[in-house]
Amino acid sequence: MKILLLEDNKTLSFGIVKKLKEHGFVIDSYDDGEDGIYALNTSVYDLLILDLGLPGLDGIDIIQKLRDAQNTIPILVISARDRLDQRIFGLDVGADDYLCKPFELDEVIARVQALLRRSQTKNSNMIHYNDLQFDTQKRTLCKGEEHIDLSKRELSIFEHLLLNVNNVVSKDNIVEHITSMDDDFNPTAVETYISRLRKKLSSSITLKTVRGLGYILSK
Amino acid sequence: MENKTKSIRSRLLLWLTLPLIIFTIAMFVYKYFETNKKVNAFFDNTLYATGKSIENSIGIEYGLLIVDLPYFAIDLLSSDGDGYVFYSVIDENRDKLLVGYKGLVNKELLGNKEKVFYDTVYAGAQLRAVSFKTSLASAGKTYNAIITIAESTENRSFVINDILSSIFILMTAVVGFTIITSLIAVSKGLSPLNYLQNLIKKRDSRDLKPVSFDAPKEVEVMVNSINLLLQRSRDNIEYIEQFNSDVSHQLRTPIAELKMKLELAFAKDDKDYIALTALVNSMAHITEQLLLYAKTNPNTLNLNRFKKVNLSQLCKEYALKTAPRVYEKGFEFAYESLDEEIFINADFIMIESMLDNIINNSIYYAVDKENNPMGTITVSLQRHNNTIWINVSDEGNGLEKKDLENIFNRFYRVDSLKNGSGLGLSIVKQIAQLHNASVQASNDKGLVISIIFPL
Repeated sequence: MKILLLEDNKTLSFGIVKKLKEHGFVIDSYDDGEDGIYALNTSVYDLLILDLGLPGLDGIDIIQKLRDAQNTIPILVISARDRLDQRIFGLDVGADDYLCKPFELDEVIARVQALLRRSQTKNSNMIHYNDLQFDTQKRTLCKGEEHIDLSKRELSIFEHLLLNVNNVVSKDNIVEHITSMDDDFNPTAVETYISRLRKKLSSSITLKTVRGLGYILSK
Repeated sequence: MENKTKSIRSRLLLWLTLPLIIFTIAMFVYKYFETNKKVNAFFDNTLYATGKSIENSIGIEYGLLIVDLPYFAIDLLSSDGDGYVFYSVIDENRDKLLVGYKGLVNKELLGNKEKVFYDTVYAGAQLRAVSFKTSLASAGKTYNAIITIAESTENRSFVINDILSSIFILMTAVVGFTIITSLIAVSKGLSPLNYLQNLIKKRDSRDLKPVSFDAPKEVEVMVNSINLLLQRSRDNIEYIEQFNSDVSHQLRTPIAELKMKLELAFAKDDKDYIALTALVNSMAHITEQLLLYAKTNPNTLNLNRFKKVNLSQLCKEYALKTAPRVYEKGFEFAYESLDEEIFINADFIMIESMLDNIINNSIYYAVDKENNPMGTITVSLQRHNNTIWINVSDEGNGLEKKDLENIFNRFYRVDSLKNGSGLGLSIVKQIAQLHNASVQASNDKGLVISIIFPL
């Protein structure tokens, strides 16, 4: 995994680079927007960590340039200005995630991993959750060596929950993802499937009901 | 006050119509007297002419004055209409009534004058009379006679009233017409002012956009001044926003650096690291809350950021986003939606900040003595008549009455042992007020904080 960091504050840049390297990432770091654009054009990165207040080229301009060029690289913005500050009000357009200073390094790592996971699941078949491995290609779920037997529908629902781990998934949203147009599926049946999943996977998953909203699979 | 500052409209109307009305009344009074005078003069002349015709019938016979007047002639002489006519001819030499009505003449009034007109009452009728002397000579002797003829005043009153009433109708019509045209003219003239008034009345008092209005010369100056003031307010707000943004940047950066240095310098379980990090975090939190408090100040509100927002959708999306954070802290989370689309004018980032602050408050305070989270935090959207309520309720210990009343005050702290900024709920109140909403704290299973939006 190769990450580009654009941050002009030496202390923060040093800390982030050190921490990411500890976690096995390859990382290039620049303190100027122009240099950043040059690096992005000459090398391939899996993720961009971007400070908005850069000398040379403003962070927002960099996002716009990338997005205008159809570049879909995940972008994690770090900034000392929050969403209430007018200048970064238009941020929601292009960045994938946003972290306001001051932050914990562990938080940076978590966000980076989440963003990468999101973009990588497109390319990889395996989803790992606690001691479970889900193969999206073969449609199988394993706990270590042991194969867990789930019905087709149960697998689809669990896959959807896995892809949205730590996020609330609504019943409607589940129905939308596991049924096709001509499928006659009763939303209340979701409850049945969820309780079956809880029974079959009880020791490995934390699957809670959020009243009024849906379900949350916590890691 | 109301009476002292009369409206321009009533002033204009008063000054346009009052002089006209006074002038018209004066004209009418003048016309009244003039008409009376002229009509009386005309009737007097006619009366006198009638008298003169009687004079022609006076003759002398056997050395005595006689009147040879057929009775019907008097009727013919009298003017048309129903009035009475009285007459008398007196032989002055013999002081004898020759013909006519007795006691009609008033000799004292006549005196030495040749002719006198006067008003009198005879046989119960109001009369206008003329008496005049005439003399005939015969055989070297002069015979004097006094002829009096009187008619009732009904006819002349009728004519006068006729003339005056037509004048009155004409004048009333002119005055009425002028008042109506004045009303129209004043309304037309004042319409730019009324338009401006409505324009300003309709505006949100927080709206600082320039007033755009194709104003006539007299109003343009005023509109320009208003716009200049609005421009200055906008500049001020922009300046404060920029300043707040810069302060955010300047304060957060060193805190971020400090935090990072600590993280790099110490092991995670080092006692000093834990103590120092707690301090830095508390500093960071207070800085954040102060900045948020400054940024949501109603006096520096930028209405440009307010958009039409679907509150039902916003709350649901917020709940979806926030639930994981609440679970992470060990609470359960629930959301109760409203089966209705509610649209309000709002800054959705501020609304989210507001809800964040309420939820943070619950996460912080809805804990037992061992600091374990208590129960469920529920966000619900409800409708009560013409208000929309966002309730955030927890299952903590609730609050005492005096705390419920003061909880939204700046720096008010329920538990002095807890380290909060004391700003969280006052920020909530500030943001609510920016949206014309009110806040309320009450006890149910735990504490309930309600934001009440009018519809």
